[in-house]
Amino acid sequence: MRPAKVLLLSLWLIVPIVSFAAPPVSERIKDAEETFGQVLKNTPEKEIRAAAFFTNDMSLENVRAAFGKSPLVVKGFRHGTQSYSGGYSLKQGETLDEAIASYSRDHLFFLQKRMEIEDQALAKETNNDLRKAMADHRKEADQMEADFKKNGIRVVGVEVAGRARDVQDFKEKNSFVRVIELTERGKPQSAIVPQR
Amino acid sequence: MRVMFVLCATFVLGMQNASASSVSCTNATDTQFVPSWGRVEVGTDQYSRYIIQYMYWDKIQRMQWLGTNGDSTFEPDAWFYNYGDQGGLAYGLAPAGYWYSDLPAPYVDTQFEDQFTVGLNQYLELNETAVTVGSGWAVLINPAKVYITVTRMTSGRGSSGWVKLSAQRGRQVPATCMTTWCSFGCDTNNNYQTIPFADHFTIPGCQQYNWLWDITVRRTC
Repeated sequence: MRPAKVLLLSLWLIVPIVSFAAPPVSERIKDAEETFGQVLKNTPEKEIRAAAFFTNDMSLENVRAAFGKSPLVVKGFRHGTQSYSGGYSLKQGETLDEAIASYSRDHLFFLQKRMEIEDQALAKETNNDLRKAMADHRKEADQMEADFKKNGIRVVGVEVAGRARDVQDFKEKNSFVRVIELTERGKPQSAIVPQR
Repeated sequence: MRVMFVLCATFVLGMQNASASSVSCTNATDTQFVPSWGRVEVGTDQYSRYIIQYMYWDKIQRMQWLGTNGDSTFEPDAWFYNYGDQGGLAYGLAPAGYWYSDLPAPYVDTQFEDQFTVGLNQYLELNETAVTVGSGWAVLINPAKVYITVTRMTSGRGSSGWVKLSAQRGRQVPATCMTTWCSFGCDTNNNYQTIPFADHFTIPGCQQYNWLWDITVRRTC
């Protein structure tokens, strides 16, 4: 087989796996828009739970300010990058300010806890492959800590409760909202993280 | 080879019907999705109880099912013993507050289909309560890389107790869910207890395991 043909065949084989392995975010966003659009059209007064995912990450303080006059109830925050993500769900009766303080405190606490655990594991682990993987993971924790100290928690979405039309109103007034995705009962909902 | 596996699996799985609580999956052995190594630490501080889990697949063959099924999901479940006899009452009830993970597309798993309306008493009445942060895109999990999940949780009535870990494989099921990110456990061979209740691993505390990584062994951290 000629080299050009081999190259073409290789590309034909490689392209599907690359496109297949990438999470279909655009498809998910399209589904979310259609689903929320239907609810908004048919039952705008309906009380819903939804996640608003952002175009870019934001500071907790800026997110807090955006909800200043909104009738929506904030139920949780989402943070993350392409390599990790997480969040914070508000406890019953917890104010936004209390939640923001707890969120920041916990982020740092669990980072430091992770470093402590991984340092101990590195000292004890005898398998070289696992040691190397753990050492890489430990370096990532250093980077996360540096990012946190520089930028604080970067929020990529917020979970809210309120009337569908109020959720739409929030989206229209805040251009940083990329998509509204309904939160379905009992169904896991990972974050839509902005591309960097 | 990997391409063909992925394409074929996608076609075959796409033809299958999903039930509401579990879903058909292609066959897999435990050494095709259960982590080679894992570690769990359950503890408390002045704010709440928490659980931290680590997992590691040593080579690509150890995650063959996850890596060749484009819609695969993975849940490292932690189950808290709540039968009330020797193992006592549950130490943890449900995820609450802060959480994070570097598993691909992580999510906090929900124990009930109507978790938003379930009350504390219903949690307390369960014999086992689950606290899980899962991966919605397990096909993107890499071998030879350490992963972590962290979550705070609500307290059960036990000041200590037993916990078991199980590694569960599943699939996203768009057909029964309006998002594309729903995860359902496979209907067969989906769940292996990497630390069973029979080990009497008492929490708060820390354990780690090797699962058929040369040997299967569990020990205190």
